Amino acid sequence: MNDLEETLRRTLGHAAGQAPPAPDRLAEAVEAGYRRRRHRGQALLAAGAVVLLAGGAAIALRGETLQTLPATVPTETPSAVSTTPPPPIEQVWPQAVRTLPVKLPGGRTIREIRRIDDHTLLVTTWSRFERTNAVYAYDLDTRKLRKIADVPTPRGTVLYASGFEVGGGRVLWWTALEGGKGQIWSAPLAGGQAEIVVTHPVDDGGFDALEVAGDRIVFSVRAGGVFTAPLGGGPAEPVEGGTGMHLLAWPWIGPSGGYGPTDEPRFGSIRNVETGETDTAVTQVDEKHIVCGLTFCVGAKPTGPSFHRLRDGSGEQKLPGGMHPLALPGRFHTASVLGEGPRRQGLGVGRQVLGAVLYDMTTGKSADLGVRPEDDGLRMSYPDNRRPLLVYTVGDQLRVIDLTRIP
Amino acid sequence: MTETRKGRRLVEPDSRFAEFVAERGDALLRYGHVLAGNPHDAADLVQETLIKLRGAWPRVRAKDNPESYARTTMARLHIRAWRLRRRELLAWDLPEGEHHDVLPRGDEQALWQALATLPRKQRTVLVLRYYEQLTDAEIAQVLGISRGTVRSQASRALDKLRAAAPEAINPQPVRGDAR
Repeated sequence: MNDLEETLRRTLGHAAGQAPPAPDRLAEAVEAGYRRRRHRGQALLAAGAVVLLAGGAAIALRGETLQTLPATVPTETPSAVSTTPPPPIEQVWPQAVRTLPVKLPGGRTIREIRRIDDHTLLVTTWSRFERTNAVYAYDLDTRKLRKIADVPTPRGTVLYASGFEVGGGRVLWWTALEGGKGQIWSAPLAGGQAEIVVTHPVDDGGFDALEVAGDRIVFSVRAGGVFTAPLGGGPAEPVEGGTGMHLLAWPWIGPSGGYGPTDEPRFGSIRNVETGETDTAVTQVDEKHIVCGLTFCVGAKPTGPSFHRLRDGSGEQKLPGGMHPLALPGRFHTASVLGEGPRRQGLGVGRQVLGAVLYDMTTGKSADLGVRPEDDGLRMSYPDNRRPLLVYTVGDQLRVIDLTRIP
Repeated sequence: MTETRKGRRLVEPDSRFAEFVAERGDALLRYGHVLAGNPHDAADLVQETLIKLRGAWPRVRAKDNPESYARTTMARLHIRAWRLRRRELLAWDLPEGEHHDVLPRGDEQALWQALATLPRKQRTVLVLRYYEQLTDAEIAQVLGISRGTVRSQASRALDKLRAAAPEAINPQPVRGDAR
C-alpha cells in the first residue's frame, strides 16, 4: 500500500468516527416510514430540483407550544422566540398553492413536476423504477392531462432521463449511454416525437445544468465545462471562458459548481459570459460550506449556526433549521418542525420531525406547509432559480407551491 | 405472518429487526458518512436502506446476512441517488451547529475534501476498497459491475486524489517536528 492509499485508509477511518450517532428511536422511525410507504403504495414523488431539506432544528414543539430552537426565525417578531406556529400556507399565500391528485387518471403515479406556466404543470411518469416513460402537460384549471411525448430509454442507457426543463416551446431532458455518451433530448411542448438534439461526452455524473436561452440550449457537465448548441439540434460548442466551469443560470457561470469541493464557496465567484461582468460574493475567513445563488449565499459560521445573506455580504440573517449543503439558496427556505422526544445527552438527535415551514427570507413571512409525519409527503423538492416549485404530498393530494406567485 | 391492507402485504414487526437497528445503526451511519461525505446524506442513506431492509427482513434474515444486505444496499443507493437528485425528509434530525468535517491532520483533511470532488461511483469504489477492505472481486459483486470497471474506477479516482491533494502522498509530520 503506497502513501496515498495508506492516508486514504486512515482518513476514511477517522472521518467515519465523526459521524453523528444514530438516534435512540431510529427503529421506530424506520417502522413508521415502512408502514407509510406500504399503505400509500409507494406513491413517492421524485422531487425535481436540486434537493431537499435534511436540515437542522428550526422549531421544536414542546407540548402545545411551538418554539424556535435555537435559531431565530426571521419574522417581524422582534423576539428570538416565536410562541405560535406560523399560519397555514393556504392563509399566508393562497394564490401560490395548487393541488393535484397523487395518481393520474388510469392509476399512474406522478413522478416529477415542472412549471410550464401559471395554469400548466409538466409531469412525468415511470414505467419502472427510475425509468421515465412519458411526459405530460397537466392543466390545473380543467385537471386534464395531455401527453406531450413518450420518453425513450435506448439500449445501453445507464443514466435514465433526468433534468427535465421547459423553454422555447420545448421540453428538454438528458440521458447517458454506457461509455460516457451523454444525450440531450427535446420534444415540442405542443406534443410530438422526442429526438436527440445534442450528443456530448459526460462522466458518471452526467450533466449538471441544462437550460434554454433564446434559440440556444446551454448546459454544463458534472466534470466541468459549459457548452451551447442550437435549440433545434446540432453540434455543441464550448462557451468562451467556460472550460471547467458550471452553469449557474444563464448567462452566469462559475468555477465551483453545485457539486464542487466544499472548501471554497460554491458559485462564490461568477461571471456573466455575455457581458464579461464578474461578481465575487463577500465571505469571511473561517466561514464554511458556502453556497451562493444569483442573489443570496448561505453558509455556516465557524461557531456553527448557518446564515443567509446577499452576495454583497449585507442583509445577513440566521438561517432557520440550518442548510442543506447542496441546495442553491434563494429567497425562500424550508426547515423541519421538530418535536421533542428522547434524545442523547447534548445532542439534538432523537427529536421527531413533525412538519415543515416555508420561510420568505426577504419579507420575513413564514407559513406552515401542512406536511405531517403521517403523510407520505415528507418528500419534497427544494426550489431554485429554474424550478420555482415546492412539491410535497399531503394525504392523497400533491401540493405544489408556485413560488413565482408569491409577491 | 402477514396482515393485508389495501391489497399490500405488510410484513409484521420483528423485535430482531429493532435489535439489529439498535446494535448496528451507529456503524451504518459511520459507513454512510464516508460514502456520502456529510452527515445529512449519510442519514438519508441509512434511513432509506433500513426501510428497504425492514420490508425484506424475513427473507434477508433467513437467507442472508442483514448487515451485508444493508451495506450493499447503501453502496448501490448512493451511486443511484444522484440520478434522481431527490431527498426525503428525515424522520429524525441531525445535531444543529455541529460540523463533522474537520479531521485532526492536515493531510487527512485535504484528502477528505478531495474525496468530495469525485464522482459517486469512484468514491464508492474507494470506500469499499479502503474502508470496507473488500477485494476488487467483492466490490464488483456489490456494485454489479465488472472487475475491470472496479480497477479503472479506482485508478482514475486515485489519480484525481493525487492531483487534488498532493499533501496526502507526502504526509506532513504529525506534530512538533516541523521545522
